[in-house]
Amino acid sequence: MAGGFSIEVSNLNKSFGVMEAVRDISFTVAPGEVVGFLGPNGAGKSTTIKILCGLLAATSGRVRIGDISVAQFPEKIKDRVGYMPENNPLPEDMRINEYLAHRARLKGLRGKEVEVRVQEVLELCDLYRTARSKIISTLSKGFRQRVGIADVLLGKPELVIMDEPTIGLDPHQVLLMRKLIQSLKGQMTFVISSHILAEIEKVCDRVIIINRGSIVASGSSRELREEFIPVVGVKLILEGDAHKFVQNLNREKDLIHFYSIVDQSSEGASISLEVFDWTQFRVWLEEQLSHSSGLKINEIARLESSLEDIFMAATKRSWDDEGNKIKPYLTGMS
Amino acid sequence: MRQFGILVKNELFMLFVSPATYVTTVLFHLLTASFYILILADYTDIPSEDIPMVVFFRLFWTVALFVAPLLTMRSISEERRLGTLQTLMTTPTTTTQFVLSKFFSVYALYMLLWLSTLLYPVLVSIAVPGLGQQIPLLDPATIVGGFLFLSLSGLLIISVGIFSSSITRSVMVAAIFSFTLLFFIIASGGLIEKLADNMPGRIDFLDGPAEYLRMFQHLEDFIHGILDTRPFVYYITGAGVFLALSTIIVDAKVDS
Repeated sequence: MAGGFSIEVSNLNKSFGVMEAVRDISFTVAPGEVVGFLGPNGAGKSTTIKILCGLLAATSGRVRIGDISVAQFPEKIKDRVGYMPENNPLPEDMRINEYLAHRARLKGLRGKEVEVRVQEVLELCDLYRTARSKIISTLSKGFRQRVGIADVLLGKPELVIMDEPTIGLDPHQVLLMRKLIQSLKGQMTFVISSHILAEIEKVCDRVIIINRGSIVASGSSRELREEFIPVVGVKLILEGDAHKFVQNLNREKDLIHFYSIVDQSSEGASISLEVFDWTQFRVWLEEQLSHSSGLKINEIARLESSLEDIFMAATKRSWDDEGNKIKPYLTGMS
Repeated sequence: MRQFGILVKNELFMLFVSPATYVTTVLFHLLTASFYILILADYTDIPSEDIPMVVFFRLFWTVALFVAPLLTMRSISEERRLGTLQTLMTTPTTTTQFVLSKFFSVYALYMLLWLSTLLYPVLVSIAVPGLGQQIPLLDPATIVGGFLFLSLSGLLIISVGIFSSSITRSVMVAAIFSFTLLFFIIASGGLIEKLADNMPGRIDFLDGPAEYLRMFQHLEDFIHGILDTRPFVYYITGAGVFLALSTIIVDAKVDS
């Protein structure tokens, strides 16, 4: 593999007429990595994915899957990539096992191999006992998704690209899907595009966030948190007169990024805050309480930022219309 | 070639499990059997020089206009509508293989339907013993000529249907477009001839091309044992052009 990458994308551009769908994108994915590909609608995710699969030609730039150039050998890379498109289109009139056997043959499997591999993927996707002979048009959304995943895995591809794989799945099926990806981790490289950010965070080693055709963030959840969310969320419920305490919050600009009073009365206050340093905030809080007689903490909780917060922060940063007004980083604050 | 074989096999399988195929088959036989019975009835009233099968072959255009769009309308438009075309293109399959597999499977069914009409004279001779002595029900030379024409013209007719199916996601639009296009192709030879009669000397230059387009004349030639290379060139290149156009369209629409 050239440079040891499963995917190598350099300066990729794709235009549709005057509209630039993808602008100078570069990234790499290591073999065995599970990468989440995130972005709002129209960000250029699907265009990039289709270029990776050889379904769409790039305007300029270089894409390599393993050691093969997608532009030069689009047919060759189809042996190496398993792609499950969004909405997972399937032929309505076929039975699951017939469909998978047909797809296996198209993917180059022959004779007995077809039967063996179809059974393997049916078992892997928990379809063998329950639904292998069912007609596809009679299947529920969850079963259809599983057929799509089984199809992707048929040819034992080096790279699996899935567009919204967990959409429409119930929690049990989502768990099954997560287990499946984890069981294949290391054997195959996964690129998963999804809007279900919590799922991506649980499954992926790394996340690439794309917005308006450009990559706005790339790294592990931890790295992205450090880069995009420099604050810690705090939920604070005080008992007693918190009037003076709230006034003091305004003065601590270096410590408190944002605060929002959820509820305040003479008997107490409920406040959501974003602080730059948790330890310093605790020290400051103790100090405030020692100076305010009758005021005490009823509840204090540290809130972790989610991938949703990172996603919002990363995509917001790339919008031009951002004003100077201070806005919270964490979605639960506003 | 292996991919093509796999695709054709699957297409044929899908055609034979699809209820739409059986509906089309029933409609085809209702139409053609009615024609055959009416032809025989006419024949017993006013005997003709031509055997009933010849008159039957002359009605090929009705089947071409109604049955060919029914057989082809779903072939590509349905794959585009469902999005399964995109999924197929993620396997090592080319658009040419895909279009040709659609074409050959529908063409095979089209010819199978026509071949099944050979049972009509056989069934009639069983049902009405002695009719075979009064009316010549089967004439091998005429039948071979007629079927050669049907197989040759079928290449163009089915390729037009495949082309119509490739340009739209709507099955109904594909059928209507196919019907219209086939109507003009079948009628074009006659229309040019009529035009030439009405404007003597002004459109003589169209005489040459019109020779190629006269489908009814081609049929007469074939059933009377006249084999000219021009119909071969016309139907094979015509089918080639429509299939090439279909491939170009499918190529452009894979990602949409």
